Order: sequence, then structure tokens, then C-alpha cells
Amino acid sequence: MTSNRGQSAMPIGRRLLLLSVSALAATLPMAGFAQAATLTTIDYATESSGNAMMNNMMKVCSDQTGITIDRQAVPYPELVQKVLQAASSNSLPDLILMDNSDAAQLADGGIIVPITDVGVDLTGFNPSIIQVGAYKGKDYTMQAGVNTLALWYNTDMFKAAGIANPPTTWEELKADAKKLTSKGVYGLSFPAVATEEGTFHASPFIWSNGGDFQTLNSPQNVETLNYIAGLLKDGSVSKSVVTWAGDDANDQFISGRAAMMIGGSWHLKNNEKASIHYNIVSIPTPKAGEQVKVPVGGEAWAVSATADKGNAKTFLDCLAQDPVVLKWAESGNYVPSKASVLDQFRKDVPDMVPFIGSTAGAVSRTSVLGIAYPKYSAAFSAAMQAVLLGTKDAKAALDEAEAAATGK
Amino acid sequence: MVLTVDTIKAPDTTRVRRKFNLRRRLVPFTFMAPAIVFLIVMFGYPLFYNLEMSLQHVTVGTFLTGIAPFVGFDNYTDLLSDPLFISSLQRTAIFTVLSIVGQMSIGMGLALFFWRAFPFSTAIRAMMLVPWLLPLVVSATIFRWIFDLDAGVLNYLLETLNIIQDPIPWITSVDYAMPATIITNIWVGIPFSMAVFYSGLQSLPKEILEAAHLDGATSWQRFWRVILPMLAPLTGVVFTLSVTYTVKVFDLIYILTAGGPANATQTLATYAYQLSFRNLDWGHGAAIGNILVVISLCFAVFYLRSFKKSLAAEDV
Amino acid sequence: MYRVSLARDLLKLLIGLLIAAIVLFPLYWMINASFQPRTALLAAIPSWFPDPPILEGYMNAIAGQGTALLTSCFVALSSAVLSLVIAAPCAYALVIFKLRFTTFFIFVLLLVQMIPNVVMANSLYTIFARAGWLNTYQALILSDASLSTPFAILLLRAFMVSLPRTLTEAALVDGTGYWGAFMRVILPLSRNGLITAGLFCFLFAWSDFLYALTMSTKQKIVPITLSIYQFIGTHGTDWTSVMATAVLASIPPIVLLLAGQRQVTAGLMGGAVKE
Repeated sequence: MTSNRGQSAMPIGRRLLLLSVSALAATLPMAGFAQAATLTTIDYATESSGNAMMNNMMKVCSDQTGITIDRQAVPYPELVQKVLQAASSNSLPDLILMDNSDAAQLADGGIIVPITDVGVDLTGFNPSIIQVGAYKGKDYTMQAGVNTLALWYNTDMFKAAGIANPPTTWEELKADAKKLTSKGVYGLSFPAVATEEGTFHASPFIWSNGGDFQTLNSPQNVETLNYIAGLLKDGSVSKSVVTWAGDDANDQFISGRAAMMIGGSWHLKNNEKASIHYNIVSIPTPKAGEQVKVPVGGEAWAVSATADKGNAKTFLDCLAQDPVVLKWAESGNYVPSKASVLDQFRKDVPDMVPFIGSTAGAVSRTSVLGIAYPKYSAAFSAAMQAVLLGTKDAKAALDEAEAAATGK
Repeated sequence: MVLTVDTIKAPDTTRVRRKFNLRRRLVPFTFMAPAIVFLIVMFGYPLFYNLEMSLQHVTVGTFLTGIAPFVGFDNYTDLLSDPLFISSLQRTAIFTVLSIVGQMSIGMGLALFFWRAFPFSTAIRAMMLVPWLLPLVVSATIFRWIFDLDAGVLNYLLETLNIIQDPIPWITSVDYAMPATIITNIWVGIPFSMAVFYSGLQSLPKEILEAAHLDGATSWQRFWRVILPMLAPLTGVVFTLSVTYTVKVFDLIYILTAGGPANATQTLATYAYQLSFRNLDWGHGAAIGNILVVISLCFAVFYLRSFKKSLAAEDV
Repeated sequence: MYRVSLARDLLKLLIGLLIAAIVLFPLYWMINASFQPRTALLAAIPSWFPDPPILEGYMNAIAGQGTALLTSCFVALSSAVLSLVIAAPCAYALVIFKLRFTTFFIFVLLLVQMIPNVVMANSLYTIFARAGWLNTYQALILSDASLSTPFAILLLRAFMVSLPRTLTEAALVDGTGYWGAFMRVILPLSRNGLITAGLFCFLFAWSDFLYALTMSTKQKIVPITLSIYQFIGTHGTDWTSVMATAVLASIPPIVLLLAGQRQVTAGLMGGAVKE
């Protein structure tokens, strides 16, 4: 009502009011209307320590941004289903913390939107980790930390068998495993169950030998499966691996029934309490001196199609900051996705150092196959199991798998 | 007009009779109404939804947008040319037949055993329901341990008793995985058959049994000629429902073997799950679901035929 | 004669115990495991008896799962009652009234039980989400009742069919009407069937996991099945505590079982009562 020219004529009282209101507004958190803002999230950290960690992390950024978080935790196998149920009843959570391999599927269905569209700043993140959450050329996820696989070995058993150094090549792995096998103890354990876990743990071998999952029956893959089957034939690996999930294989290792295991960084917390002495190194490669290629797992944040993009950006930007990424990685036993915090991380969590080297060779399972990956993975694990049990030879099994995956 | 009883009474009773008839027609519905409403509300939509989904190309996006192009019977024809579907169908048949034969015969045997009370029979019989009570996640895990190749208690016992020389790879071989799964499923299903048959036996009229006994019939004859026929309606229900439940069995197999090794225990139910939730291919998963319904319906039809006959017999 | 009877009874008891030992071996293994430390559970040679037994598992179980057990009890009991209330009159009507659609109705009862569980879960989720009934007791009770009601109708029908029509007719002559006949004559005589059906309804609801998982988006209603599943968690399984929880979770149904069985034997020994 007052024109510019008349502003100087504004009554003192009103001007003071304006000043104090704007002063007050300046002290409000950056999010503007943030005091009333809530974001709903969903994740699968239902297990007690993971649950506590999530609550802590949410609080860190909740306090900083002023956005309240309404968090829902569901069991791991149910997350995608829950998200889809929510989509169909128009009640999608705003932020989804999912297994990074689910990104392609959710992106394809339009359930999540590209994170770059939301405007989240991903500078400083390891490009190969960003790539894991990419689909059709767009980046969909922000992954603060990754977990990956390494070779765990029982130092006491190595000493007793007279092996000075852990194996670095496939030859050495085969020989050491055989040497370490005795009554009641197998040389090596790893999960080869018929679910995604089986494929996940076999992938370092597949990729490091030059093969991949797009062409299941490549000569490299045949060679790889023959190698792994050879370990079973030697008696160094129990046939029961085809029924073992990650936890079962880990149980074998920490109870002293396996001298070595292929296992993930997520076992660290649990294995701290174990009574055996162990060390962790990179998974052996076919030839000496090569960089091992490993899958990266872990949870990644994505923004759902119905979320308030402004609030989502604010919250995720908070989670993407260096100190928060470091805290996330340290409390969750992840390798941080930002190179800038790695030095500090090395100092704080020396146990995780072996995993850092491996993540340099991170490969995404879904970057080429996208939403077709699960089909290829299922075909592969059926082939792998048949070869491990000796019911089919590698070439035949993989040919069949290739036909099954591409046929439909 | 000749005054007869009829002519005097007729006018009044017509109106009363109409009212009475209407009330009579309504009475059955007062008994049935809650059930009918319940069935429509709880099952109407799922029945339709299940069928609809199998005729569409359903993707992840469908859940958000509701768009799912109609593809007719394509999902079904795709399955028919899928070798994994065919083999899963065969495995489902084997799994179902052997499970039901095992459950029902052992269940009936136990019901007969417990029929005449003996000291502590009530307590022991109550404990026999435990397999049904345990959460499946726990039962399947325990059997995984029991069946373990190296450290499982079953192999340990069999080797100690010298029944076998080498440990049997119960769930780690393509040959033994299915038998192990069937054994576990029979174990879980015994209580159902046993409890129902036991109650049925208790309700049998004593006079007929005593008459048969007096007539000199042996126990064997009494069972097959007298008891079993009298239990026919109950047996029919148990059989049909057992088929329905068994073809749907999923949790047990998934936790025990995850459908492996190498698809050795992949049944239609587990394959449908893999299609829907691992491959996110709901159209084909729903198609398998409907095929399972059709299979169960075939058995139901047999039951209904005999049911209709028994209904007619009741009218005599 | 007395001697022979006693001998036969003892023989039966021995055989009964042997059968129980075989059938319940996994239960013994579960209880055994619930008292063993993790290292013993992973050992190469199975240990038959916990030595010494540890109570940590049970302490974790009680601390974590107490509420879940109560929730399960409440939901399962309500669901069983609801099922019986719907099923019993329906079963009676199917038996006593010559309804033309009886066969079709039985067909529907069988058909609805064939719907894959996951489809049911998704559909019910949609319905209850629209009604705003997610995370409520009524949604879970109704869903669990849907597991058992068709079965209860079929089972009760099979029981009631063996009761003579004369019972109903006598009651009708007395002027009580069909509902009177049902409540005063048929229901008491069907105690056998009602308890068996009720038991199964309770057990179906008690062991339900899928609907409990589907209907909850917040951790408000967590029955024991869901609780155990979450206990197992994403990484690192504490089998001792899981087994302890399983043992605890089995106790209420077993108690109910024993109570129910006594009712059945106290009731009709020897079939339908004839006037």
C-alpha cells in the first residue's frame, strides 16, 4: 500500500515490526518453512545396531536442516515390495534407502527420479560408485558408503600350516586352501546359495578373469566356474556352500570350520567378538599384480516420484557433506564414497583398510544389464550350483543359462 | 356355499402363509449373510486382481501409474515354452502327491493310535500339534541344521547306527534335496490331518462300531469297510484342502533350499515368487498363480462331485 | 482282563512316547539350541545337551519379544472368535436348508483358498490403505480371519452333517425357530467341531507372517512371527536368542491346545447323542 516514495513516511512502529520480523526470519534455519517440514523415509535397518545407527544419522541431519524425519524400517527382502505397495496406494515415502542394485528397477518404473533432477550435489563422490546408481544415462542415487568383499583368513591356521603370506593369485588360493583343509576344517568358505547373494560372492572371480554377466557362456566364465568347481573337487570347499547364505559362510569361518572365507565388510561388527584371530586382504586375482574387480553393495538414497524436491535436496545435501559421509561410513562399516575423507577414515578405522583398496576396482552389476540383471543372475546361480555339484560341466551349464536368460 | 373347514379357514391362512413363507425364505440368509459379506469383501477384489494381472504386461511402473497393457494369454503361452516352468510343474506334482500321501496316512495312523485313550495320551496328542505351531522360519531353519551335510544330527545318527557309511548330502545335492523338502513338509502337515481325523473318529456313532465288532469284523475290515466310509466327508475336505495348501507351499522350501540347488526344489510357488519378486515380472508370476488355482480346482471338482452325490443321498 | 488292559495301555504308552520322540525331535533340537552358546551351535559335532546351559537367549527373548507375544495372543484369539462367529451359522445353514446354491457356495469356499497368498496380501493392502486402516488391529484381525474362515465353514459343515435332522425338527416343534435350534441344540452338540475349528483358526492366525508384515508400515502392531523375522535381521544371526524366542512363542498355543483337548474328551465320547 505504501509506495516506494512513501516508505520513509512509514510509521516508526511499523518499521520496527518489519525489522524485527525480518531479523527473526534470518535466524530461521535455511530450509525456510522447514519448521513444519517432514520427510517420510523407508529403509531396511531393522536389526538393532543398524536401527540405532540409522536413527543417529537421521538425527544429525534432522537437527541441521530442521526437517523432521518419519522413518519406516522393514525387513530387507520386503523393501521393494513395500515401496511398490505404497506406490499403488499413493503413499510413497519421500526418500528411499535401498540396496543399490534395486536402483535400476525403481528408476525404470519411474518410482524414483534422477537425483540430479532434484539438484543434489554429487561432487567429490567416487564416479564408479555414482555409476552403480545410474540408469539410462542418468544418476539416480546418492550412496554415502559402500561395502564390498574381501578374503578373510585365520592367521593361527596359516601359521600352523606354515604359510607365511596370504594368497594373492588363484594358484596360491587353490594351493593354500588345499593345505589348510583337514578333518573338520575346510580351506575356504563362501556363500553359493540360489539367491542374489550367491552371484554377488562369485562376481569378483567372474569379473577379475575378464568375464561378465551379459555374456554368461563366455570362455572366461567357463574357465572361472571350472576353477571354483576345482576347489570343491580338491575337497577344500564344502559342498554345503550351495545352501549357505553370507551369514552361514561367516559362521563357518568364525567357528574355525573354515580357514578362509570370501566375505563382506558387513561382517566386521559381528566378527569383532569372535574368538579366532584373523586378517583381511583383497581377493586373489587370476594373475599376480592385477586389480581385483569387486561388486559394491550397500544402501543408496533415492528420491521418490512424489517427494517434495526442495526438502529432499536439502536433506540429502546434508547427508552428502564430508563429515556426515565420514560418520555414516564409520558407524555402518562402509567404505566412504568420497576420496576426500579416505585419509581420515584410514586413521579412524584401520580394520577397513583392506576393503578400501578393493573398492578402487568397483564394478556395477546393473550398469549394462539394467533391469534384466536379476534374470541373468538367477540363470547364472543355477548354472554355478550345477557345476559346483558336478551335475553339469561348465560349458553346458553356462550355455543353458545364457539361453534361459536371453530366451524370455 | 358348503361350509367346510377349508373354506372357512382359507382366507386368513393365505396372508399368514405368505408372511410365514417370506420369513422362512429370509431365515437361511440370516445365517449366511455374515459369511457372504465377508467373502465378497475379502476375496472379491483379490480374485479379480489376480486374474487381471495375469493378462497384462505388468512392470514396476504399473504400481505407480496403473498402466499395464493387456496382452491376452501371452503370459501363459510364454510359460508353456519355458523349460523351467515345465520342470517346476513336474516337481510340484511330485512334491504335492508325496507330501499328501505322507501327511494323510501318517495323520490317520496317529489318529487311530490315539483313538482309545491310554495314560498320558491327551498330553502326548496335544504335543503332536507342535510341528504346526512352530513358526515356519524356525522349523525350516532347524531342519536345515538337521540335514546339514557335515554337522547335521541326522547324518550323525545314521552314521553312528551304521545305516550309512558316507554322509548323505540331504540339501546339498540335486538328488536328495527334494526328498528332504518333502520330509520336512510332511512333518509340518501331520498335525492338520491327525487333528481333523481324530475329531472325526471321536464323533463316530459307537453303536455302529460295536455292531461291526459283534458281527465278527476284524480291525482291518472295520477300518476299511466301516470307519473310512463314515469319515468320507471329512477325508474329502482334508484331501482337497491339503492339495490347495500344498501347491502353495513357499516359505518352507524357500528357507530350506531357496529353490535349489540348481533348481532341484524349484516348485511353481517358488518360481512364481522368483518371477514376481526377483525379476519383478508380475504378469508371469500371476499367470503361474492362476495355473495353481486351476490345478487346485481340478481336485476341488472331484470333491464337489462326490459332495453333490452325498447331498442327494441325504435327501433320501 | 484287567492285567491285559494294563499291559496294552503300557505298551501303547511306550509306543506313543517313541512316536512323540521321533516327531518332536526337531522341537527337542530347538530347545537344546536355545540354551547353547553360538560356538556350540556351529561346532562340527552336534552337542546333545547344553553343558552348561546359558540363559542369555531367553533373557534377550523376553526383553525383546514380550509385547509381541501379547499382540499375537490378542490378534489370534480375536481372529478365531470372528471366524467361528461367521462360520458356524453358515455351516449350519448349508446343512439344514436345502439351498440350491450349496454346491456353488462350497466351490467358492474352495476357490478363495486357492488364491496365492501374495496376491491376497497386495489386494488387502490396497483395500485397507484406502480405508485408512493400515497399522490397525481390525485390519490384521480381518485378514487373519480370511485365512481360516472358509476352512472353518467347510470343517464345521462336515461335523454338523452327521447330526440328525430330528434334533432341529424337535426344536422347531418346540417353537424356538431355527436360531433357537441352532443356539440351544446344535452348537452345544458341535462342541467337538467348534473346538477343532477354533484351534485351527487360532493357529492359522498365530503363524501368519505375511499379513502382519503387509498391514504394518510403522512398528505399531508386531506379532511374534514378524518379531522373530526382524530379530534375524539383515546381518549376523543370534540363533540362541532366535530359538529361545521360538520356544517362548510356542508356549501359548500349546497351553491352549492342552486346555482345548480336555474339553473335547470331556465332551462327547462316542459320537452323537441320541434322545
